[in-house]
Amino acid sequence: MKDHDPAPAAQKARPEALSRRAFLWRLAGAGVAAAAVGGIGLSLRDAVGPAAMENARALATLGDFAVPAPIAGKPRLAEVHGTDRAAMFTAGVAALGGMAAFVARGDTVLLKVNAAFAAPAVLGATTSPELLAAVATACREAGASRVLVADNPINNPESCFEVAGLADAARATGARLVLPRPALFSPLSLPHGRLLKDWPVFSGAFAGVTKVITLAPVKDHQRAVASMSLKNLYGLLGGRRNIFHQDINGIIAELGAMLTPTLCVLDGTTVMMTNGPTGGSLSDLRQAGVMYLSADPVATDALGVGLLGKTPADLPYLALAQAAGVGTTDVASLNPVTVNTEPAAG
Amino acid sequence: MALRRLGPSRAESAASSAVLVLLAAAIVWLGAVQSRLSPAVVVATSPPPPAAAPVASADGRVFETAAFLESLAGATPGGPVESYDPETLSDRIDGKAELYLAANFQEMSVRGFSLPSGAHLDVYLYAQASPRDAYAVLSAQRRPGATPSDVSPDAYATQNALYFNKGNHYAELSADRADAATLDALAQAARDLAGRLPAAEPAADGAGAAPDPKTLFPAAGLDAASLRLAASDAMGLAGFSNVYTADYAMPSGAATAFLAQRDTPEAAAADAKAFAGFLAENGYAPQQAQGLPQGAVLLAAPGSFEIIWTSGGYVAGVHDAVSREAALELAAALAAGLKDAVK
Repeated sequence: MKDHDPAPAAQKARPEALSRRAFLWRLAGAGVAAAAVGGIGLSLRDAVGPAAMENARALATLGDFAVPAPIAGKPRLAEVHGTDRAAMFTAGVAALGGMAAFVARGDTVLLKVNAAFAAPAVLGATTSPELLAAVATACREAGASRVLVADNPINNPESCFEVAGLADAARATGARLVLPRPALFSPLSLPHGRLLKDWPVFSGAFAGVTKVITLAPVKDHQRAVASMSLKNLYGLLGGRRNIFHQDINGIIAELGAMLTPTLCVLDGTTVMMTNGPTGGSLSDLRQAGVMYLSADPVATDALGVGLLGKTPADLPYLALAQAAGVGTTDVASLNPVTVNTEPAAG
Repeated sequence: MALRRLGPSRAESAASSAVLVLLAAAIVWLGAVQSRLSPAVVVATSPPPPAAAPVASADGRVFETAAFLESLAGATPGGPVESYDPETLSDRIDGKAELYLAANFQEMSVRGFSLPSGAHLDVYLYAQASPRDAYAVLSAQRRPGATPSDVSPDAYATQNALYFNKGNHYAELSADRADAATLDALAQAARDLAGRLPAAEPAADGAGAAPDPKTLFPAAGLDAASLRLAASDAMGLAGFSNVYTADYAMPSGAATAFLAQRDTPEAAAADAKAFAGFLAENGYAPQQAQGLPQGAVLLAAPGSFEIIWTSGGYVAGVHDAVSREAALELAAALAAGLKDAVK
């Protein structure tokens, strides 16, 4: 006999009859899930937000990235002669113990270039893209996990890196450009500093950085006489930094105390002899064919100024930096070594 | 047997609705909170502002130099015109700004162009306060070995660049290569620009009534490319301004002649006295000599000889001659030329 009982039919139409108990359990479960999600969101909320710069604690330095000095008697400065920047850098580093002496596996290396102007590389106003590519590649080969390239240029940052060929060099070698943004600047007050007091510096570029290599060209400079390793650090300042031109020697000396680099590469392969720091004419340049490598920026600059036909005495900031313990103009004390990368070079 | 009630009770419905309302409220709240980004995040995610001021500055200033760079014959603009005033000039050219500021810089506009050769060309157009100031910045940067250009009387060209002044303007055209096609196009662009720049107004800076000092240097032994106008702090003396200098190869050795024009003979005498005092402070001692220009003093230090005198409103002299004879020879020649000028 066919079952005509309507109740079982209705129960079949509704797949499941929800009991009060089941409903309450489900309600409780949904409530717990909603509370958990809301709680997670609440825990992630920063009700205060980042502190404004004026209330932030000022940095004392950008860091000490020096590696242990080599044993006594080993060279701590290399003077390399040649024309091929990549070969010159390789030879110079080899003379100082090899890249492993400066960069270890897993390091994050910041390459501080001079990208001050939106000028083609051929005009020699900025760090050579060939040198940047060579150093970035060497860092990678030494095991660096990340290679960053930074500067706070005078002109529009993107234009400067692109026009100078540094952006292409970075891309080609897997290095990452760190372009300046206001959020990447923090105030710095140099202990015992006279000029660097609560001044914004490009500290954001140093996040996670374990080694710093500076790459500077040798240039005539209208105000500072010469722009080399120490003056290159000017590109880590933010704000209306041109006010420091009134005491250019004082500020350059303090820049040396602001940061202790792992290695300084001073590129005098092509030297801007006149009308610096911008130049503009190929006749401002001289092919000097020299590169200096050392952890000591005072020493590299003491030698580099000779390429401009001047002496260390022409750069008052060298004496100031030496007095502040940044480095030494007594280059002989660094057991310098001279390397020729080409038979006819030097 | 009683039928089981299939729908939720009124209380169950109310509770469910309340939960849904609470969830919806939480979503709205989260959305509202998240939409109010921290200012730091806003700044960090914003594109950096352009480094250059636009054609009109924030204070509404319109840069007259910008209009000249709207187009250039034979060149295709590669970007916007960027303009700078005395406050922002160093944002573009760093420490080089000092050179222009010392010569009464007014404004500068710059624009990139591409040339038919494929070269990139940057054109910088500076406006100084006077034609004399424009000449000062041109002469201070004159490149050794440069070749004269027909774009303007003091224009010169290098392998990849051309520099000229006209009126109170000074222009730099710099290409990124040095081939013949590029240089031809660069000269064409320079002529076009020079043709549209206003010429100097006669006697605009009050100096036009007298001969141009740089024409008063004697020709014999002159290195024409060395002619300079120091807008300020000439020869190391702070405040010694608007001094023309020129290098000479005299039979007795190298020397530099200098000449500065002042409004009155008294002002010229005061500057001459100040410069002589500056030299004395730096180890120079007076010496007697025959054949000095009238009223001149000769000061000497080991290997360096200086002669200073005035003639009317001019301060004249010989600087850093390598020998006493060279100093005297050059002083005599310069004095002879000045004698005619101050008649």
